[in-house]
Amino acid sequence: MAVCVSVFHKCRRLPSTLLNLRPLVLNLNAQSTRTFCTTKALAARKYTEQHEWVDVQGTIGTVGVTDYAQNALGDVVFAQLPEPDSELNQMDDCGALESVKAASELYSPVSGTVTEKNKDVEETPALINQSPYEKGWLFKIKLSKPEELDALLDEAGYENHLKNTGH
Amino acid sequence: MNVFRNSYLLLPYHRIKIRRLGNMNSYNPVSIIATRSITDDVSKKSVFVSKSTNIFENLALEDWFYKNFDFENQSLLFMWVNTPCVVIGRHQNPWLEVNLKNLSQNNVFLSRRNSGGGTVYHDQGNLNCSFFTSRVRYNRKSNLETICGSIRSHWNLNLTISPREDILFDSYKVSGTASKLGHRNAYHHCTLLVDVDSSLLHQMLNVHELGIQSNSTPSVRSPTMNLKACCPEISVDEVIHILGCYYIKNSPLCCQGFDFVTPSEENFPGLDLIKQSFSAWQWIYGKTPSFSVCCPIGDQSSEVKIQVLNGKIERLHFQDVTVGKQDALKLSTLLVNQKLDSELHDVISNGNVFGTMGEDRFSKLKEILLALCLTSV
Repeated sequence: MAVCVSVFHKCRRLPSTLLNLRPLVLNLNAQSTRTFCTTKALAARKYTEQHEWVDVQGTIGTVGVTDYAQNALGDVVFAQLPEPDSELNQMDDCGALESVKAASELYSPVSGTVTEKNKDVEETPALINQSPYEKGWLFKIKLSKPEELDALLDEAGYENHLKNTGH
Repeated sequence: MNVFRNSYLLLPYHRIKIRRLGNMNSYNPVSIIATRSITDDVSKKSVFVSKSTNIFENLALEDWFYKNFDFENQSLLFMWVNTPCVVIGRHQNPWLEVNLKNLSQNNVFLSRRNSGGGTVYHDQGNLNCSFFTSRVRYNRKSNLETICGSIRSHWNLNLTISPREDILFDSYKVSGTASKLGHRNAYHHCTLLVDVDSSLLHQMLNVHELGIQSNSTPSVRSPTMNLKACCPEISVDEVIHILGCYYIKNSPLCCQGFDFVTPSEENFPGLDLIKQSFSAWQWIYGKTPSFSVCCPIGDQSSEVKIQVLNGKIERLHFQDVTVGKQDALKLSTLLVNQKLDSELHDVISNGNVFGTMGEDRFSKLKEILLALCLTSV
């Protein structure tokens, strides 16, 4: 997700919703270690530096943009999402989110084949602002290179990235 | 690569490093690498002015810069002027935004840009300014301030920036703004109404209501005015000169001169292909977000919904059973999977399908379909 931040001064802090989510995710991780569940079943959300997230269940990843991204974009008025069956390479430009006057390119955090796009978001792009991690997911993708996940950021890494880049 | 008319002016400091960004699969970056590269000073600023007044060439060149230049340590102001044309935003619906009939009657081009935002009318009294930076240094407000500052410095006009980031004079809009943000690069471009033919502007943007339902990006209509109206001595050429100098002088380096560039394949390998895609029906009309149109049938108690995807009629939905199966089948055979273009226009107006169905009952449908098919490139 290509969000630009230099003009969005109000977003210098990590949004509170993201902070609220953190304990939940950490807790999930802890649980998975203790009970020897496969990490895949309870895999935590992974992030890109471009503010996309991907949540993998089995071989299917659900992709969205982070709370930070939606906040920086402002009200999304149009979501252009990849069509099902399109094959994407990691970091392919695969759509765009339009907020007031700016079209921001959307990148796929992983390689694979798109299995579904969120039609509700196409109908009501404001869902991205209201619920970036749940109702505002963008598309689902069948991973062709699951190993790519290893190089993506985890929750703490993403948070650090935001801190280090001055947000 | 020979993009510079006065290239010797720039050589000492101005080596442009071209990095392949985006998905220009069709062209080989090796052929243009290493012509120049930019030094590591972020304050480096260049000004390019297009020698072309063709909207498709200029949009293609803008896109070429966006995809091929590395703006990490360098900024560019690209200025361009077009012959009469209407430019819609990336996710807009031309049937909702533009008077297609007036457009073709006046030989005005229609084009779709890559950035967001609303519809604008351009002619040679309008200056387009594209500010390129890295995504990190993208700053719309500062670009607009540069424009206002330069105009103020020379003509003493008090321009202000609205919360929507339009430039205003006395609450009238003199400039509209839109942006495109990518992974590494970004641009912000805006119009500047210097001496635009406002009667043509209104004719092009005065739309007949067709009853379209869509979630495409709507334009926000605002009262506009020309800078010429408050400052008779101003001209586009002078604004290019003043703004270009102001932009460069704001950097610690002094003015190195402008580059007047010709958007040609020879100068910018791969440009022809980009130009072709910008001029194609599939881009201008075909990229319209899906929409539907409801047409009354007969005494208006019944209606048919035309669903359009990628500029093609995807399906017809008859709201009730008052349209007989045979008529519904005839209409579907005639219309489904057809592009809303001049070919379908001819088929509808010259063919006899509507005649065989009782023209009166379907006259409104025919009228709306013919209006939808007024798409030319």
